Amino acid sequence: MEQPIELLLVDDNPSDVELTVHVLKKNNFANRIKVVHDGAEAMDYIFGDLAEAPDLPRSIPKLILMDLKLPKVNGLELLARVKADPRTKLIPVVVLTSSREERDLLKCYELGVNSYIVKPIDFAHFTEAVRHLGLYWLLLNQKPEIRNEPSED
Amino acid sequence: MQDSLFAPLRLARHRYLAAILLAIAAQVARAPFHLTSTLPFITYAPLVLMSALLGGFGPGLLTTTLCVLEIFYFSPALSFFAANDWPVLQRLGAFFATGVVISVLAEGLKRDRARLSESHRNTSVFLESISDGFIALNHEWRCTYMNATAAKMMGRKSGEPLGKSVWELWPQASDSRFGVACRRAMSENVTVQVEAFYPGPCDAWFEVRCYPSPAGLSLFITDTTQRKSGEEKSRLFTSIVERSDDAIISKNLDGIIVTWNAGAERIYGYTSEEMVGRHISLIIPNERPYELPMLIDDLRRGAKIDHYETERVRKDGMRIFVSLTVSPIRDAQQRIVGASVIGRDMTDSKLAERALGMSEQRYRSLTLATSQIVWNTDPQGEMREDLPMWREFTGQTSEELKGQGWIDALHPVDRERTADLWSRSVSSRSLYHTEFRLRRHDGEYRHMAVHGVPVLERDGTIREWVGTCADITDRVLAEEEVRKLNEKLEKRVVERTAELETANQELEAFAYSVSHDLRAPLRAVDGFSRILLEDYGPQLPNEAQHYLQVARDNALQMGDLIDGLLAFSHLGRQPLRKRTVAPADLVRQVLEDLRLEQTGRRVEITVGNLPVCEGDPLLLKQVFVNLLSNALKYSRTRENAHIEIAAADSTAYYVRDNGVGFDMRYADKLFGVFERLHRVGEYEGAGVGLAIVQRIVHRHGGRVWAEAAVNQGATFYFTLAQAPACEPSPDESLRVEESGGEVTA
Repeated sequence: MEQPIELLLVDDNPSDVELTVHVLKKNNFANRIKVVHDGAEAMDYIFGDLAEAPDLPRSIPKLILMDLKLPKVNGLELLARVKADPRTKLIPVVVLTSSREERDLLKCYELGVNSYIVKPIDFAHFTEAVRHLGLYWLLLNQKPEIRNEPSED
Repeated sequence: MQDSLFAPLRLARHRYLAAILLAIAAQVARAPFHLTSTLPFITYAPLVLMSALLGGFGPGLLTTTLCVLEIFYFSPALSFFAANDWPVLQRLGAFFATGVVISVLAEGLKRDRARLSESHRNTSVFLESISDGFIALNHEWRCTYMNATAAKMMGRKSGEPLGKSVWELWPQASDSRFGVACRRAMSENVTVQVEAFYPGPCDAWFEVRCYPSPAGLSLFITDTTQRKSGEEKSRLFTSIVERSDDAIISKNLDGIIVTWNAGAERIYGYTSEEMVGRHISLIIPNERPYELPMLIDDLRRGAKIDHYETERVRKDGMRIFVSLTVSPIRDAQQRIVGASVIGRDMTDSKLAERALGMSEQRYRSLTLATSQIVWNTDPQGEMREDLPMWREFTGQTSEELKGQGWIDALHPVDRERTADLWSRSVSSRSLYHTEFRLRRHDGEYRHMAVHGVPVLERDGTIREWVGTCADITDRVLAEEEVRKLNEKLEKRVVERTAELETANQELEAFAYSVSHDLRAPLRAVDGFSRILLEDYGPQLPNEAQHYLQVARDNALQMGDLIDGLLAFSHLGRQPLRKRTVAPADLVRQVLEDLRLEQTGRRVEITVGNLPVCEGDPLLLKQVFVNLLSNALKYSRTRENAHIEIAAADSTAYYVRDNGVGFDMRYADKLFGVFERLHRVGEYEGAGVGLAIVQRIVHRHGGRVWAEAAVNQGATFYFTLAQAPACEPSPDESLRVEESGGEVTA
């Protein structure tokens, strides 16, 4: 059986993806990383083929790390969907984005985001941010066990 | 006259017949004795006496003579031839003499009685004829005589009260003033006169005079009721004249004043003493010399003059208006001897009348002068009077507009609404105001503004309604024009707003993209350069490493520019949250935040008095952050930097430094975005700090400017709203000297 994914990275910018993965790997945080490049793909990955197994998301990652500005389905929509679904709402979601727009921040917190981090341009700062992020969410943070139980509704 | 047995017979022939019959009776009575001539002749004497008493001297003498003849005739012993029988003759002579004496005495008695009877009759006639009542009382208060007048006065039949006590006859008189007077007259034997009202059966005023007399008391009674009522009337008239508000004057035909009442004193100001006996012309104005002769002429003809309105002069010289009624006074012979003049002071009413006239005239003039239609209706809201202005305007006839007919001249659409409103105003007695379209005589409908007010009587009832109609067509058309223009303008504003909104949205979308997308490539440039340096550094020549470093520096610089640009564009989209702000507090916070920049420097910072103002505290803080960090930045080459923050006046704040300053020739570029007056290498910064300051100040309705000279420092001034609600705050001059990052207050 395929090992469960530890981290789902949703970002359409290949450079950012590469830099992020570079930092995470260098710090040995996530060996099982699934990268998707837009919101629709992420939705497909998380909720799978609903006709096949309607109650079971294909994979429950330990953490979702996502950009906001995404093609097709944007980050906010994705966040809303994840946090609205009882099966996925307990998955920590960290937004990692270039924007420090107030309204984005506000909206994300309203939708129940667990953390909001602005990607610094300075690579040294970026490295620090991603390192702290991985350290905190993948190693230090304790979260309830997510069981694949049929939903009530 | 039955008061005496032997009352003399009235007629002479009766008396003489009685004398003859008595003489015969004497002979008849003597007949049985005539043979005996010794019977004295004296037996004839009683009959002679009777005859004399009945008839007087003549009949007495006749009876005596007849008796003598009878003696001669019937006595045989006697005859004229045998008259020598002296004793018989002597006796006969004595009898005759006795008869004569009896006759004479009887005659005297008869005369006395006749005289007495005459006198008595005369007294009685006198007492009966007088107009006063007369009552004689004896000492026992019994009535011994009462004349017919008195009986009538007292309501008794004549003769009925005789012999009765007055107190029985008139018991109610006993305690009256009459009774008191009578008793006093009787007891004190004095004459007493009393006048009093006697109620009861008489209901009249009596004057009673009580005269004591030897027989008792004589009462003369006069009915004074008429006189009394005359007096009463006269008193009443006098009182009316005296109390009258009108001046009542009488004068003779020469114009001399005879009487002058209190009203005249009040109206003309002269007293009665001053005027009686003077000429009436004293109160007639000089310019009316014709008036008096005219009045007197009228009077002589017996004409009465009613309500003659004229002017008179008061004693104090004031002119008064009077209304005079002049009537002739006639004497008993109906000759005109003078005039009574009743004058009423009309000054007040005359003045009121004048004022009313003036007011009326003013109203009429106003009506003519105004271009508005003036209208009036009765209290029920019906047009009653002709309205020439309305007719002229509408072309309606006066008949057509009467009642509610005026409504027909309105635009058909406005009629019902106007009629409703009008009847509501009339029934609620409230002001009437409306606008309607009125058909002008040429058929054109004109917009009219209509106002109506109820005119109230003193008791609050409506006397009439008055109002105006003003032609406001021009105004209405102008308003219509304005409305249309406004609509157009609003439409344009909406269009422009939509355009602006679109532009704004585009700009926002642009900023959003910039904020997301423009940074990513820079991060890639910096990131991969860094990875290259870190992972492959030893394999790269120094020059390549330097180039990579330059690429990184530029990427970071680009990041700063983007941040500045975003911050600047962000300002325009953020709402302004104004409140009262104490700039001194903001400055203190900012200086605290900027402590790092002062590390290792000697900076003297002076904070002056900063008045409170209205503004967005976050944005104002940004202003101070930018200005103060500039001041610190551009003064860092100074060994002793001086920075001063203070207020130039009640509206302008300034930040002054002793730094490098700038050339005032480039002052206009100072506040442009990305404009810099120094080379990049000299001083760091994106060139948006002052642009942000200007933007914030402008959004507050204020102004920002600078004064500087190269190497002589710079001063940046800014104001907020044009007339800010600023008041000087308590003097909190703060002087901070900082040395090596240590604050010493």
